[in-house]
Amino acid sequence: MSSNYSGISITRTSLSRNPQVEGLIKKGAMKPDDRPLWFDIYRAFPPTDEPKFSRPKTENKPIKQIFYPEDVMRAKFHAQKLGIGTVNMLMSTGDTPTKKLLQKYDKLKAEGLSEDEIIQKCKELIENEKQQTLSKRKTDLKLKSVTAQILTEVNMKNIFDATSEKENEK
Amino acid sequence: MTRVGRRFSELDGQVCEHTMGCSAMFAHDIYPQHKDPLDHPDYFHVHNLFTVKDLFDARVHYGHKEGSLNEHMKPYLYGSRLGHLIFDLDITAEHLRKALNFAAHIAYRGGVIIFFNRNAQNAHLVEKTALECGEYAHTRFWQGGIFTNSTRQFGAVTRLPDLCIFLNTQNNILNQHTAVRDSAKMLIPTIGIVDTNCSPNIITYPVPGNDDTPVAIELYCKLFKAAILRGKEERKKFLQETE
Amino acid sequence: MTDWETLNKGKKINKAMKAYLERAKEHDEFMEKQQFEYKIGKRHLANMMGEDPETFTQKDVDRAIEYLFPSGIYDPAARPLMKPPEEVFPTRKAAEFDEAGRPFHFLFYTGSPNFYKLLYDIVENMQDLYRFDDKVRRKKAVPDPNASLNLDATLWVTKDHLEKLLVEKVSDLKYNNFIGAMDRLVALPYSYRHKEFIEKYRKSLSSQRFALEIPKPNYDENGRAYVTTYECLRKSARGVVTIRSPGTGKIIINGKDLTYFADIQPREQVLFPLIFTGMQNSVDVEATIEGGGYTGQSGAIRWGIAWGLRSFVDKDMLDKMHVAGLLTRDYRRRERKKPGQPGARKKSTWKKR
Repeated sequence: MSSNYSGISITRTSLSRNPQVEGLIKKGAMKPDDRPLWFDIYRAFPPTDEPKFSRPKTENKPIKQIFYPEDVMRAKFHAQKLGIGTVNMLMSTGDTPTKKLLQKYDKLKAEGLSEDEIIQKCKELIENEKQQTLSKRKTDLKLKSVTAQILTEVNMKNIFDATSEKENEK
Repeated sequence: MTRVGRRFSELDGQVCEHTMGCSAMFAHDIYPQHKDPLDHPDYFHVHNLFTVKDLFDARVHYGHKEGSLNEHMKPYLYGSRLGHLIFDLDITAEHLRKALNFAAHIAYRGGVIIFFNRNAQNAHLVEKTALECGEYAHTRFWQGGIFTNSTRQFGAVTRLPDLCIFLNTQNNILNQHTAVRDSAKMLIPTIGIVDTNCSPNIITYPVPGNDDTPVAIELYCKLFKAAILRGKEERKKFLQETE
Repeated sequence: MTDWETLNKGKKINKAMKAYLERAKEHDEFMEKQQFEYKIGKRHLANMMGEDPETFTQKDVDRAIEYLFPSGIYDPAARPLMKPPEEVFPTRKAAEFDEAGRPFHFLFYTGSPNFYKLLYDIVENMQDLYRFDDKVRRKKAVPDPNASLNLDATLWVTKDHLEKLLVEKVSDLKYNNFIGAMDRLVALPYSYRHKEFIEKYRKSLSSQRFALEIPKPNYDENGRAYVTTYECLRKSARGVVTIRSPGTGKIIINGKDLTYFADIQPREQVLFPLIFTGMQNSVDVEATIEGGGYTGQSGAIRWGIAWGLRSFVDKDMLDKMHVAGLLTRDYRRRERKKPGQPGARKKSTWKKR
């Protein structure tokens, strides 16, 4: 079991390595039993490409652009400023706004509506949803507000009793 | 996804060509009763550590923008989605399994494995992984000469690592980590997560994938830890047998 | 080529460990030789001093050396000595790796493992606190208000101290990183949970300025409090100053009053600490002084009065006196005359020829 030591700098010229060790063993500069620990593993499972600084240039092929058929509809929705919203990448549960729209689109398409009609309908739907969530939030806020909380806690009947007690103390 | 799954399920049944080729050279034939781990294409069963879906969930497929692409990373790409490069996870999975297998074998032979990472956000995670699997970590400023001039650096003859695992190969966004070059000089094999802006050239086992997102780094750390621990477990068994 | 399994059965010791063992053996042999020589030398010394070599201790050795080789060299480190070799030669660095050459520390390859382990621990603690914070918020619990961390009376350890703690060199940059990380840990709301860890790296802010204990005043037969300061030194003057309280502001120097000094300047010097503390009418001062000129004598008395007044003033005034420089000894002495010139610094007039 042997390994690389600072004392033995085996190569300085080339950065590819397996040929170097094999060459050293072949020429007797390194005893076969002193070979690096990784040598057998490297032989058994060589990497896909030889690790070499001067690798041949890759084929000058243009990078494939990724598009989906639904991108057309996505673009149309986005042009109407629909389905643009923030996505929480830490909690990846639930679909993105655009995906929800596209699902709606598929549903309405099956009903036989035209594209413009669908967009119009989606717009209305989203408007409705917005209104609903807003009103819901408002009522929630109202309930959560300080006065509301106090009012629920305070016993209306005893308000005057408390003040009268204070007056008595004075 | 299905393609890779099938490919690795077939592996168990067949013996690779290169393993056959080299086994004859060694003295395995003298001990025919001893089963050499190197004869097995996947002795530590690293292929069942993860699926392509896991990679996808950990956002390994996200690359950088097209402008920063390193030319040598082109073969690992699936394509570009509106200017953002996307890795082909089938290729990534293949490379990652190879790397995990190599790491497990090194651990089996009692090799010294060192983890590198120069991203401050993930540094602690990497150090913790190293500590948990009983290996080593270096996530700090790289003093030149730790490998190439180690006797001076440590004041004594020192055993150098047998495998370097880079969880990102860049020192900053522009320069490659000097340890990549130094380990190549000192004949230390390397495993590196290479993003689209990194060069995979002198890394022995490059793994194309996202090297910035903490979730992705977490996944890599988990996988390498599992592989190394499997190797070590086997080593324990081997040592008990020989005693 | 032998295969790895067979090679592994041989259980070869790693080259790094082999080198270390060789060095260790060399060191041990050297130390053995030194110890032998020390023992022989000790016996010789004992014989020379006519004492029993069996009961000759290190203290006796030091005394014998001082007697046999008297040395007037100013620096004690440069004087002849005979110490046991363990004290003279640096201790050998313990092995940092096992027989297979594997380092013990998981950050060994960073070059300063202990320091980076410390940073690692800080982050570990911080993450623990984050988790705890989350837990508290989820349960809507109220944090314990009594368990807060009070760091008013302590400071972070200095760089030198940290180096000693870690047994490693710490650069300025690294030290700053350490302080920054520690400050972040301390700033967290639940940092008291890691009080023990934090306090390991804090040093108490005991005022080193007044490390000398302030003496309690004595009382004479009339019931007056008095404090005597011996060895009031300035230049070549030397004196003893006694302060009595309560008093009327009487000042007696060598049996005379303030007119002992003919000039205004030394009189002001003597009065300054009394006026500064506003006690010119509430204490009596008695001083005997000899040697030196009037500057030295007045300076010595000034310091003596200030030093004695410490027992009669409160803490705020003490700080003020310290800032005013009243409690600082003036160690300046006359500078010697240099050859080739008429004075210490003065040069004779330069003439071309």
